[in-house]
Amino acid sequence: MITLNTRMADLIFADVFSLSILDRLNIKLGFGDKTIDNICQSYKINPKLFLQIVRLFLYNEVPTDIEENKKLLTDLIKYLRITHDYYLRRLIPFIDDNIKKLEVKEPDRIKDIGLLKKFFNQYKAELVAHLENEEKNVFPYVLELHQAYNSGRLDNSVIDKIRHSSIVDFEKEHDNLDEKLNDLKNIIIKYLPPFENHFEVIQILVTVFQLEKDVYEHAQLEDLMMVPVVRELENQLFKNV
Amino acid sequence: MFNKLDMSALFICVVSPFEQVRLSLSSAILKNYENLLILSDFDLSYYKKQLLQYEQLCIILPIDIITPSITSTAKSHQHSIIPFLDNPKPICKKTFEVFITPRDNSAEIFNKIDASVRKKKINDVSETLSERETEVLKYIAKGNSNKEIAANMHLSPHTVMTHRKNITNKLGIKSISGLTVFAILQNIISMDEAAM
Repeated sequence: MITLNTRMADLIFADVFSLSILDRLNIKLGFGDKTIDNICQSYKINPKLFLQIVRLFLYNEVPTDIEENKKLLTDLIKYLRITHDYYLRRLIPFIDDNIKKLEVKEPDRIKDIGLLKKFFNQYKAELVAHLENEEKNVFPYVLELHQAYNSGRLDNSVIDKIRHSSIVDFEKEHDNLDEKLNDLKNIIIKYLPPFENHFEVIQILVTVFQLEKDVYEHAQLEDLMMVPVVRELENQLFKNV
Repeated sequence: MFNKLDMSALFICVVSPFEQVRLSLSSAILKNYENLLILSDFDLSYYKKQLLQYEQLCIILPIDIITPSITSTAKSHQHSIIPFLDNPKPICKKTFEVFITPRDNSAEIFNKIDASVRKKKINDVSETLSERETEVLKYIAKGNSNKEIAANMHLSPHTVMTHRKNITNKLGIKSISGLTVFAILQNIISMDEAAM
């Protein structure tokens, strides 16, 4: 079991894909025998939150202690925002680049690559719209609520927001973002005729698998860690109105 | 209005003594399935008293509480049993071809339930679409709604829904745009006809 005293190197040995978590947090390699706690402290990352994220990633262990999660809320939102950036800056462009490489290398397959591109662009547009909604509406609302809770000051605008844009609505709108990625995997693995440039196709596929797992865990952090805390904050604050 | 329970629909039963496991599994399963029973405990007598009424049932439960009598009851009722385990042990691979681990995401869980259920229900099912399913797919890819497809093909909307479920189960593709890509790749419709 990974704990704060586990060496950071052992986390990578446990699962190489945990590198993607380090990458988005800008944690560089070469950490010798330093523990997860040591590294988190030196990068000013909340070690408890880091541990929760890693445990979700490795064991699908969902942190459900509302009081503990309440303390982690601000850092959790920071991490969710960093993850959005990681999708848009790293994973999506990587898939785009490999589709472009295929286009250049196999001009006679323009129809198939065009279909792949169109499908992926549609997914991208949905993902971007979803992330933008979270960035512009959901996260600011959560942070405002958290601040009101901590300061004990509840002004009318916050009360209005709880009434009109409660987190329950967010839950309803929380789309199934992994559905299209699963479709994309099936299309590439089973139905697209084989390409000469197999390497690019495999790069695309591996990244789609990675993105799918990441998006799923991201949604779990939001649905099972953030949302219950926000619901609790809404209830607590409303009690005092 | 009270809706009568559809006994022909697939019911998923998740068993785990751990709240965390129940929570994460059920949130993953609910993304693809509507009918979910969540239990903290399970044994043969509960199975026989409460669950035999279900025509299509898939029980996901910890490997250590699966007994031969549970397995044989499931077999005789064409129910599926999928063990949930932290680490796939070789012995388990031999007995069960499909198992769910804590690391599976909702799509992987969907694929595993689907594989397990279809194996029980239909043996040697052809993955190719039937003529009717191909026709439904054609309409979907052209951007028609279930209602429109039902009217064009003189079917009930419920039958159209069943065809759609079967298409998704066979192809592993659920979204309309994914189905459209498939239809174009297979020359079921042309690029110009597509609603994409």
